[in-house]
Amino acid sequence: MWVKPQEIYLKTALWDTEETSLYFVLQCRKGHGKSKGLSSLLVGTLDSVRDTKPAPYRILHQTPNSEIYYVIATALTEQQIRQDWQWLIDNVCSTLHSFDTEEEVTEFVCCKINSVMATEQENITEDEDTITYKNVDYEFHQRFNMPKDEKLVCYYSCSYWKGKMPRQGWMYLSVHYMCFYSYIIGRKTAVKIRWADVTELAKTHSLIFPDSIKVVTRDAEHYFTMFLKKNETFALMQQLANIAMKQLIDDKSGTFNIDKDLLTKLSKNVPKKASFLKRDLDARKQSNLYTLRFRLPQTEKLDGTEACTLWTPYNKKHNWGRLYLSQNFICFDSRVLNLVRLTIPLRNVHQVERADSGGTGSSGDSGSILITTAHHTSFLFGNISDRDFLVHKISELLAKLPNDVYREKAIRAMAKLENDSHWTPQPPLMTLFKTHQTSPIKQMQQKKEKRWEDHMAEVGRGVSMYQTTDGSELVVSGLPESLRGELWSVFSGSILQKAQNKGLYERLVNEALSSKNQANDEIERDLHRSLPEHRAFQNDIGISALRRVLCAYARKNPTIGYCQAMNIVASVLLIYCPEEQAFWLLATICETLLPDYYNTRVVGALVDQGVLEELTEAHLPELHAKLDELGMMKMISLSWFLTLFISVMPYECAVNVMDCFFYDGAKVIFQVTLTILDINHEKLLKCTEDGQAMQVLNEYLEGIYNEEAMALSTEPRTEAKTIKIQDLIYRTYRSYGSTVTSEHIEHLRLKHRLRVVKQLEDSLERNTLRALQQDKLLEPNELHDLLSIIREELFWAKRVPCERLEAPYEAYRLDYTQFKSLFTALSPWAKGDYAEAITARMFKLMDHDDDGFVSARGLSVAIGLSTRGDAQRRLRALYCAHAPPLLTHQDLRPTHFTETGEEVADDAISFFDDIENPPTPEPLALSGLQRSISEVCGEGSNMDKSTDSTTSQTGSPWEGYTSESVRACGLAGLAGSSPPSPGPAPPPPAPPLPRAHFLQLLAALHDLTKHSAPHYEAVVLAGTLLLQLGELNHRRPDLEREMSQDSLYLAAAAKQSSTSTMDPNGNTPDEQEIRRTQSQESESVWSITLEQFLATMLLQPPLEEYFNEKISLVPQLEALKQRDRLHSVS
Amino acid sequence: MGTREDEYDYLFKVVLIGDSGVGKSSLLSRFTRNEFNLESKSTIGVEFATRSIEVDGKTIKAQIWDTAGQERYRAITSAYYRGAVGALLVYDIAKHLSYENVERWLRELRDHADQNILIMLVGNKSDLRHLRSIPTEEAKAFAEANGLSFIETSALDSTNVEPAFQNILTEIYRIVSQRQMRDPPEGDVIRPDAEPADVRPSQADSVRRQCCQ
Repeated sequence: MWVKPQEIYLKTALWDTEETSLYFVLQCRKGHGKSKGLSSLLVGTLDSVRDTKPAPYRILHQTPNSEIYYVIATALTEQQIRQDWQWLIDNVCSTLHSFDTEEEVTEFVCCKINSVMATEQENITEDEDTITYKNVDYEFHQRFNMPKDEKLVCYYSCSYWKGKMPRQGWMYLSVHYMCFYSYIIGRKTAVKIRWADVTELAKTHSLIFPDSIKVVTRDAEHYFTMFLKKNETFALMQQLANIAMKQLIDDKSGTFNIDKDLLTKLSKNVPKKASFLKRDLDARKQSNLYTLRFRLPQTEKLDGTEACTLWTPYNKKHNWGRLYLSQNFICFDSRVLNLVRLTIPLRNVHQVERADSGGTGSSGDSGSILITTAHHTSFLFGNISDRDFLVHKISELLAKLPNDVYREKAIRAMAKLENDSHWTPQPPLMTLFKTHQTSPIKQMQQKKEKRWEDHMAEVGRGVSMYQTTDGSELVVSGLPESLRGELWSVFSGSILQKAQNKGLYERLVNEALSSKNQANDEIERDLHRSLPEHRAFQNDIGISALRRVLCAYARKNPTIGYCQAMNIVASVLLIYCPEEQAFWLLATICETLLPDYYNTRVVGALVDQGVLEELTEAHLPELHAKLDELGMMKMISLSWFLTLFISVMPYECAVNVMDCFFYDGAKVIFQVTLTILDINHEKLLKCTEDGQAMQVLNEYLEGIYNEEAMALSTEPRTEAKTIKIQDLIYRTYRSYGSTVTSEHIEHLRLKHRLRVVKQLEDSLERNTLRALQQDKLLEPNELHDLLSIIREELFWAKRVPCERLEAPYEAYRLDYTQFKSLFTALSPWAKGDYAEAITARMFKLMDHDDDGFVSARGLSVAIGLSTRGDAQRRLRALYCAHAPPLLTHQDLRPTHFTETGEEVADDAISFFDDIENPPTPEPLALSGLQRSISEVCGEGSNMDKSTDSTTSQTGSPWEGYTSESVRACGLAGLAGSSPPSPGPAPPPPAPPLPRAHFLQLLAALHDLTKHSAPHYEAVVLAGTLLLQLGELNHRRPDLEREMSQDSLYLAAAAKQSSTSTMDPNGNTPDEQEIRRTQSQESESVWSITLEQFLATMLLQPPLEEYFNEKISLVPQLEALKQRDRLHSVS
Repeated sequence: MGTREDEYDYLFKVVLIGDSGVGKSSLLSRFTRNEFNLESKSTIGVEFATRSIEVDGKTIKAQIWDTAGQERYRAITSAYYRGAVGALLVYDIAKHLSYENVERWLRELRDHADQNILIMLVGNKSDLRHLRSIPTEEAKAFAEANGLSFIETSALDSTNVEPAFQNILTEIYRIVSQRQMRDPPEGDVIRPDAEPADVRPSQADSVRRQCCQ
């Protein structure tokens, strides 16, 4: 890579010269590549301590009579520098001869290099990382043996406490790892920690480790000190750990997308240092805060901010604050907390103009702009320092807005065409199913409505209403029922989602209702169990609307699908909102307000239980101790949070909590919960057991009442009244309104997420181990190691274990490549030439549902059988792995490879030929085996079909043997290997082996034993007997099984003495026999049964001994662990 | 709290588990309040109710924990199995899947509950005779093979609900009182195993002390 020519004086210090020409020198830095010795050690230390990180290769320019050298190119690898060198020789050197003076030469070279760089740089986009960063990135990958796609985010100078000694070095933060490296006078310290393994991150300060960052993993604690930018480092560490946790939660592919869009937007606000990814993460964080603050869709990316004033017409004041700009919105938040907040969707903006001398006072005059929306509302911003830039920027964003007016029309037209469905979205259900209101309640509601009408006359209505302190007060006292739907949508921001996704709901409903899936079944079961007390849901109108909303959401977000509790929340939303609005509110709750609450492991709810516990400990320490003692701290409020109190309070009260929840965010439910606990403080302290405490709280919650709304049932309430909901909410805001903030909650959520995810992972691992131990094959410590290796393997494949219904071990699913790499490393059966074939067949034996994946149990059983099973089980497993229909005719068919390894393309023809002409087996058809493997990974279903047709055509004794029965037989003797049926069933019988299959099995056995003469001979002997037996079965197809077993012994006795082990050509006799008998192959059946096979094999003492040998896996597991984990190398 | 109602000789914790929609909550409300609601809300997380019964002149307070049946709540609800001495594993006699899943629930109990927990298999909704898909005999045989007691109930017409709870509580009582005869009692709360984590020391004692003031 060319660099701007720089003068240097020291040519040789720390560098070795590799090559010279008249004007150029190619050098390699000491300590790199081949050079060794003390000086290289020193350079290594220097490079590691100072942040110079020079590239290890460079080219200098010099003229013979000058002492000055110019660096003109640097590179990370020799290859790159050679390329540049060659370019110089080819293009520049010849020209240089034409100059008269050396000064001219130097001038030319510098100029040339500069211009080369200039042209190159045009191609370099803005996201290109700096050269220093690239060097570090390269080192990082080298030192920690990282895969190429692991991205370094940033690096910091710091000290690592190794024992009681601090080591100065560098901390590297990458997307999946945090690493530390120091190299001081020959002593190397390297630490590599995966974010997913981190259980705690904290800033600590103690005598031993002053002012440090503590990183705790399952195995160890690490301390890092002496950061230059401790806060920045810590924040980044938190963010990365959190991303890792999110990936574990979401089970999404772990690919980390660089958001170029976001970067270019924020690049001016973020210091250019560090990596592209670091800047990206910073931008991401700022955007997250922004979308949270203004309840914008999460895809929104912050473009920039600007301090200015907003003119509020209702009180005729200029309010200082900050204007935020993103691709779809202009937002404003006052400097004084909660004074005024505003969101203007750009799509509503009609006009942006400079407003001058409005005569409204002194402060608003300079730098004002006036934004008018399509509804003729105007917003005046003042005191903007760079007004022209802002106006320019806004118009730029406006120009970029997708012109979706036409698109919407098109969608609507399309929807009309498609819409043959028989449903119409319902209005708010309360308009259809009115509750009878007493006149005082009616008056109360009218008064509220009036107050809101007045308020909205001042601050505007809809998305862009000024959200003011007055507004907050009105919210706290409870929204009027008639305005609830509208205001919920505005406050929560779901109205924006709805506007951005016109037509989506209708489409989702149509798709969802026409499909059949588990979520829909679960929804169906709960429709009548959502808000049964309300008349709307005692009726098909309400039930159908609820079904549509829930099914459409399950369709929209399959990672959540349907979670009980959503039905309860959705039903209340439907009472107050039109159907589509209810849908978008539900989406906003699930995705933004209560993140991860309803996912497959209810992670978010568990996280928030932890958050609540911590808040209780801080605010109500005595009560916390008590509840903890009762063992109910972790569970009291699960249903409170999951259903937004609807399932525990009368619903007409819970909606008041929801008013505040949509207005102020998730912190409200924490505040309300704390208040409820506080109020019941005394009673709870007196409780002696958890049930009693539960009852205290239940009675209190059921007794909450709302005099301003009509209760659903006209029957008198049975519960004793406890508190007016309005009083509860006032009290909440008074006690905790300022102490429990959204930022604090977000921070605590982050912290507890680490813990919860870790716990879930651990319990999954524990359950898996317990399940695997029931197979009684591998030792618990071996299983433990095996599982951690599987996790590692999945981790690198960027696949996250996701909990499944069937059994814990199903969470870890390996594809063939992963299975192969582990099986090959661990099983003694996968060592020889046949390793691939055996591995593929074992994979197929274990892949019980033919989906191309094997669970952790499959692998552990495959390995366990091959190392621990007794001889009979091992041989049976091998036998079944080679039996039809698992091993298909397709697998056996020899394929022809050209010399380059390419397959002759006669696949299709021979495929059909097979059906008529039984394949000619070729005993050591390696090529055929490789093929079979590719098929195992690929078109499994295809194969099965072909086998089916083959077997049915020949009308053979293999009819009635399914893959499942063969698998069950091969794995007989394992706990719960048969499908859930009460009582243990005998293993199903195994199919007889046709000749071709048997030969494959024999070849595999040869391969396994070929290193030990006695074993090998025994296999040959047994094989010969079995082949003869097969012939016998063939000639007498009507022979009964029992008889054939008698004949086995006859044959065995007859043959034992006469058979030679190997002929001079090194061919085993059976191979010759095969060739001889090939021509005799006919339609009638040649076969060997499992019983015959086992009896013959086990008759050979060496084989019995060989297959009974218990093989320890510990060394292999150790080796694998070493490969993966380089935790602390010194 | 120490009111008269809280007087009891034994306190047994019993959990209700089984697939979503098999009628766990209905059994609970039938037993504790003698109520039946054809339409009630689905259970989120756990719910809870108590009722005291008399056995051999002793007052037994049953603390019954009702759990959410949906798969994704299982990790949460299994935390409540701790300390339970009895479990009613409920399935719906008209829904075959809920019966098939019994095995999975048993595994769940084995994994998370105390080893000596008494389990009763309950086929609920026996009123739905015309929709029955699991023959009584089949379920009974399964229960025997797995060492569970078995009963069919209907929370709707209240058939067998009372006996179901009575039986399991009595059985627990017998085991506990026998054990107490062998080992002198340390407290009245039954301890299925000697794991200290599961023991809430002498809480029943303290309750009684309060009551008898």
